[in-house]
Amino acid sequence: MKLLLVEDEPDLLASLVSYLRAQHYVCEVATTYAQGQEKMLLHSYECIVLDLTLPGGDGLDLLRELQRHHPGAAVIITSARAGVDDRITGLELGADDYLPKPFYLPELSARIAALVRRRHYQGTNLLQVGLLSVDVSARRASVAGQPLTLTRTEFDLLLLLLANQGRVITKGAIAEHLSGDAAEQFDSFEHVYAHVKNLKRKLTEAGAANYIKMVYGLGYRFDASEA
Amino acid sequence: MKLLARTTAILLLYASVVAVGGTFVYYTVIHRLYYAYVDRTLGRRKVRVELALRKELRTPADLAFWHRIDHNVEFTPLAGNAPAAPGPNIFQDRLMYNTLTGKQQWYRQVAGTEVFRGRAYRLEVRSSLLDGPALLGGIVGAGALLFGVLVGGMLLIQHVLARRYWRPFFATLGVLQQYKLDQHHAPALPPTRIPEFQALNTALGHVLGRHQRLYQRQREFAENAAHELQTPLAILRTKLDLLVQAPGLTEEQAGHIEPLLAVTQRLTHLSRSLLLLTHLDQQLFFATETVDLATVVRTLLGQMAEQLAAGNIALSADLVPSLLVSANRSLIEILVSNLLSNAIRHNLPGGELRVSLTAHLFSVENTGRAQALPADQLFARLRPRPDRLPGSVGLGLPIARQICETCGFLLSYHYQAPGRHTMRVKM
Repeated sequence: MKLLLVEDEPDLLASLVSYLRAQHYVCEVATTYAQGQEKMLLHSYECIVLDLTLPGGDGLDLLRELQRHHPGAAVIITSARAGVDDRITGLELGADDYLPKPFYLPELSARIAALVRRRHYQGTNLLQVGLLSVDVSARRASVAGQPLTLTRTEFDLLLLLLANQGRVITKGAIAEHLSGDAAEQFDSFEHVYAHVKNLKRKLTEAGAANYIKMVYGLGYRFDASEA
Repeated sequence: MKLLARTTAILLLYASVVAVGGTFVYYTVIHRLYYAYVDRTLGRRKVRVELALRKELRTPADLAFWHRIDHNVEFTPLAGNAPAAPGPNIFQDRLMYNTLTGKQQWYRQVAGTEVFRGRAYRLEVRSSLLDGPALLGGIVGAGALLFGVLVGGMLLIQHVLARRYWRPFFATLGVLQQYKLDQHHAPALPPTRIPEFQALNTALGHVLGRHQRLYQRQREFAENAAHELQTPLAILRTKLDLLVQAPGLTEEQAGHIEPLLAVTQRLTHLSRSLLLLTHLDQQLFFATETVDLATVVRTLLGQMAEQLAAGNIALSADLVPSLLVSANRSLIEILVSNLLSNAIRHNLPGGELRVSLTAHLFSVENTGRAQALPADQLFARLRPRPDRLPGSVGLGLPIARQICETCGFLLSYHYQAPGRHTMRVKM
């Protein structure tokens, strides 16, 4: 799976590449408007992660051009420009998602995974991890054929974990994934603990091994192979 | 009292004093002039009588005859010897019966002693007088008429002038009353030909323009600062995300990373809140849609169930089944979320949270410190307050208030019973 990351900030780009490569994506990078333009017109990518403020031009213009040549290309905008109008313009121009900076890497990874899934598997979209199988489009999960009853939040949590298998997802990333900006209102993570605990219980009760591990109070890791 | 009414009242008061005083001055002057004229006439007539006395009159019978023809000339014989020379003229007022009108009437007379045929006579020459009170009445009447015309004209002129010449002033006032610092341009004050008002407009224009520029600059600064923070924060956050993946991470290292995650979270929250506030201040367009407030409240209460449980807080919610408002969904969610989370975070362990929603009022009441919060500081941005919790950035309530302003709601704080704090949103 090939991704194009358009980002002018070298440190941030390095983080993206490092995290996403470990997720088994092939990452190409562009750090200027011209580079981005060249690469996105010449090649086709599963998903393009596009920053809006670039040396040499505006990311929104790049997006317009991309839509002219490759209509329907999958694009996630990441931007420090949190203006409401930027978000709306971006989505109107055909971007699939908008992730304001600063974001969590697991969140970006989950959004890329969701986008790629949506593009590739329009009908059935089944994830199989160990005994666990998840039908993403129908929002159903089962362990060894036995259906799980998950709340909306628990299912979202499961998708985040599955998109970042083997990686540590911090509590903050989970909180923001589950409740968006409202997460920032609390410094405590009671709701994260509660949802993870419930999900874990439902999985193990259905006969799955303990896939979800806590890592030193920092966050959680989903690992089907270790269990 | 209005400025114009006030000056008019003072002018009227002054005009009445002058009118009353003027009447008496006028009366005195006319009175004097009249007496001077009457006295001169009497004096001259007396001289003529004296001339006649020497040349024309022969016997005392002539004297009596004169009096019969002219009542106003009278000779009265005096007892005793005739004096050597005529006496001085004595002027005086006296009441006398007038045979023509049949009334007692005031007369002015001049009296003197005359010598006729070796005998002394007292000569009185008289003239009937104008009626004093009638004169005064006439003057007062004429004065009152003049005064009325004067005052009426003055009021009329002032009314017309006020409407015409004060128009630029009221125009300027109207513009200032509509003026808000956060609008995009300084208001245009209409030009006027009246120099005072033109000077006022120019001075106001300078002040307003200056304030507008300062405010704009400050707002841009806040927005740019918040923007500039996003990229470093993004680097910080992603590097921390990578750091926690490190194989062989020890518990001690994890213990160092955790506070870094927390402060990064806090900084992110702070910069996002600042951005949101500057956007609200700029009155950027927020798309409105129909939002069911009751559903928003119920959903958010559901999301906060764990926080409520963690604090062992008893929730009682009294919500109408549905309440549709026209507003921006994200703003409404932030508003409700800020109020609810505040009420939970500032609650006592084992305390209470009461949420009620009626057609026009959303209220959130929580148990807390047994002391009213300082209402004036409650909505101030980033102001350190005694009740600030560690880790809080202190922008929750200012944002809530600004959202209410944007949506046309009214947010207020009430402390009605000891230890019970209520936030009310009036819609």
